[in-house]
Amino acid sequence: MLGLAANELLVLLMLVMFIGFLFTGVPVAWSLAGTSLLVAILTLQLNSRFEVETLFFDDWRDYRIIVQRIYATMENAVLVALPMFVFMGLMLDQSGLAEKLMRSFSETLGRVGGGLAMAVVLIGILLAASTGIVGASVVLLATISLPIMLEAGYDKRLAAGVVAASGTLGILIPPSIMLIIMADQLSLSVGELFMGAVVPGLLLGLAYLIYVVIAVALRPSLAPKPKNVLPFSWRLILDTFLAVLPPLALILAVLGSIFFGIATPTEASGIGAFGATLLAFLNRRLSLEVLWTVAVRTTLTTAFIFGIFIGATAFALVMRGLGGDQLIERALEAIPFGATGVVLTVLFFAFLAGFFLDWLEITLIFLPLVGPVIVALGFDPIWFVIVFAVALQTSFITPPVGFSLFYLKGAAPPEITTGDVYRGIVPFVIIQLAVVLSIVFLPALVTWLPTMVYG
Amino acid sequence: DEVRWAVPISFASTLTALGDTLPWVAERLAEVSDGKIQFEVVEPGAMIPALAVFESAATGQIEAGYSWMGYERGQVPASALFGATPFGLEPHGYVAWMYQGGGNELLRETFEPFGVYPILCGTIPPEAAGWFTFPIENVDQLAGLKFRAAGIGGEIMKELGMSVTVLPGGELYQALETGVLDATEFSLPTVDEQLGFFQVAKFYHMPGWHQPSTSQFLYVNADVWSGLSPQTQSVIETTCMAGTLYAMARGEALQGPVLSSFEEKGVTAQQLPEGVLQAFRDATEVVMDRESAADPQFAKVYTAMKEFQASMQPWHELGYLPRDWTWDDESSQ
Amino acid sequence: MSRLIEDDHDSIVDEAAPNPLISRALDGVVSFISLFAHATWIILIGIILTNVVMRYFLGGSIVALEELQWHLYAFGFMVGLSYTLVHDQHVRVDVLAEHWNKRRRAKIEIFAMLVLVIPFAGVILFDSFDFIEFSLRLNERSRSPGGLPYRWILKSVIPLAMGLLILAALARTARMISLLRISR
Ligand code: NA
Ligand code: NA
Repeated sequence: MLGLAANELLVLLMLVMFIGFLFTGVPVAWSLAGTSLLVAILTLQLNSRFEVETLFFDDWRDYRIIVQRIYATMENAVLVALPMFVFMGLMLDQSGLAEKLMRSFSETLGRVGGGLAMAVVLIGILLAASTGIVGASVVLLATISLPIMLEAGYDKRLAAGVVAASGTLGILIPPSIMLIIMADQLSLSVGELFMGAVVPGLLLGLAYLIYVVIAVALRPSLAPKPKNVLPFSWRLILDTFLAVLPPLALILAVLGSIFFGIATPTEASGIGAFGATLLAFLNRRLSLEVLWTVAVRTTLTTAFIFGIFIGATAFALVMRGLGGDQLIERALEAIPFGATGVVLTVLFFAFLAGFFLDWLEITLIFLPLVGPVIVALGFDPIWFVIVFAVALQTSFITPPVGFSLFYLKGAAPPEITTGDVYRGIVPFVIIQLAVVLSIVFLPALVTWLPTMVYG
Repeated sequence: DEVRWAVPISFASTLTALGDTLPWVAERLAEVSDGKIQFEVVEPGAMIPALAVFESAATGQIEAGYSWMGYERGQVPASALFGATPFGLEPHGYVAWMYQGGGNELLRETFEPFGVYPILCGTIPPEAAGWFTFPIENVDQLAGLKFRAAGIGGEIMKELGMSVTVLPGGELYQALETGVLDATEFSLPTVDEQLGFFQVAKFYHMPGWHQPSTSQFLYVNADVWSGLSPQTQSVIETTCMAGTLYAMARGEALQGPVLSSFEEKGVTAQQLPEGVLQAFRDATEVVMDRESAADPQFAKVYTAMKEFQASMQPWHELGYLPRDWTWDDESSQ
Repeated sequence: MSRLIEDDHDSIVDEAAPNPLISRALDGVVSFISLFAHATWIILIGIILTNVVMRYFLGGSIVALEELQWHLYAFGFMVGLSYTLVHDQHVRVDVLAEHWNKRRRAKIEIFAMLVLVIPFAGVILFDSFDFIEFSLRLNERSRSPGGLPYRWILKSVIPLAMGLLILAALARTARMISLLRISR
């Protein structure tokens, strides 16, 4: 059948089944987890009753590995930062300071049109440089900015798109967990990867800003200016400045504790959470009730993210056991083009895989397969990893399985539908692809900074 | 027998001399057995978590896996000694003990209760003492020194008042760069070079007192092992023996040139002062006594190992040229 | 906590929907244990700050406290899985589903609980026993210097979380069934 072996047909069945569940509205976590279990049972039945060849997945014990994989997530000291940054975001929201920040941005930047959306990109870049936890950034940005943008009459799609895209910057702009894991996979220096990611990361942010400016200039109704714009005054500038100070102080505390060697990025998340609580206290918004509410919501947000982690790990395990990665490898070997052709094809596959898989699985399964092949062709490994990372970053925002989209949907007010999110993200996906291409053809965008710093 | 196993490893195969031994063994096994024995090497985390290799083989979730034995210290205390013993045996002494001095028998005995048949399958030369952001000149600098170390070496450093932390591997580079850490240990010069620690810490101290040799093992589930034909067993054990030699040769061959290249990168590579080593040695005795008191099997293995080390000593002193002897050595003329 | 409840938009059942006793009882169990998960985050902040102060300002560090960080985090998110189900906050793609009627969505929800969630949680729950038994038998402790003992306690969070997840899924199933009954 189509030249595919039984195990490969099962891989395809997994994808179809998962997408089926997903679109009937079953939560993402259970679609992934349930599909893995149902396909595992089917596979083992086919294997034992009909002696169907199922590669490495031929015994129930192969499924039980999930227990250890769940435990490995529990043991992952770096991920402690995730709930802490979520806590920081929710507390910032409760403190009223983030709202104030967004409001004063709207009063000053608002006269440009699209000012709020630009504020989201700018805050997104700042968060990216301090956290790198995509779930937390998207949730934070969504909580503080979506209600304000909707109230200002912004187009729902633009609002959703800009939040999801800006919140995803953190996976690329260092510190970045994704780059750390990639460095580990290919035995490269974390520092060089970090330096290599800075220019492409900022370039993406800049491209988002330019897009907002152009889109709003062409269709002002996308982002109406506030109705009663206050007349310009120095007072206004001062107010904005004062409003920016506390959150900026917080971001500086997080970044500063990292850069001055007081804390690791993981610990900085705890400092950020504490700092936000302190700010809420100084702003006279902190009460036991607020503290508890933030804690409860931290549980809800953290758990929905980890629900997806657990589902994804179960799904990837079965998929790998059935030879899903070999299917990809075989496809790669069939590419006839030259060296650049191979790179572009690899990136295209990473982009395609990103529609269904999450970056972690792609990094763990796909990168070790293709990395050595590309390096053997004579390409700079640092450059390739960064291009690959930017291509993978796109996977966060491509439907149907885009983690940023899920996080956004989870944190957005109910009037923003999944359809709004899916349509709103399209321009940002296109921008992202444009940036990938520009790095492919202008490698200096990546290699310049690491060479400057490390020689 | 037809053997086709997915064998997870706990270091990425891209790590030179540390992670690339089992892939080499897998290739050889397929050739030697004319394709009957196939190991599909699985990168860390791709199937089972990097640190769960032993446990997965013990509980039968995998037929076999490949790991550094120091990782099992929390479950089987004596395993730490087979993985790397502070001030213990160097590679050739270690294989002498394993293959001729009763080490292998003690190893089998240690793991028998857990349903695992371990096979030595890779020994590498000493790992470095660590990357430091400032040079270590005397013992007084150790107190409060912020050092990342895992395993039994860390216990010894704690004993000397060092501030030992266990930051996750992925955070080390940045922690050194920003000063969260003063120093970290990792692995061989070749591996350390790949990971770029020289970019953020300019003092590279040796010797690897905490790991004079480092050994990795193929853990085979005991039931699976006893189900193999003697011929298959022999092919696997013999190829692992070759793998051990391969790792020793590769590890030894590559370090010199890398070490020389560090100089151009502004790295000062030097040995720890005598006094500091002596302090580590004294602390080692305290820690080893404590660990021995806590676990009888640990005591048994450690005693046997030390006795063997002592029995080798006369030969070592007399049979070899002095370690600092070189062709051009003035003093030896 | 008004803000919290307000944000809690359940896509299928609204406030007026029936909530049978059995659902309320099971939800109650989950919510009670989840109180500890919520508290976890506040304690975690305190522990992280302590670790930073210890290392940076006092020049010492306690590996056990460093490990306690991820012990707490693991407990919080694992137990949170069921609490999040109770409040229907697990993210879904409702691009099609939002146009469907409640009966159909309730049926899909029952399917998801009975065929996807409960079997998966059950399998993990059941399979985790050997995993914990192994840890207990070896008296597993941290491999790090000065790390925490008794790894089986942390590992036992897996069956606890999966058990709670099953309770929460049963509660939701009962709720969906009674919704189907009255809207017939
Ligand atoms: Na980041
Ligand atoms: Na995607």
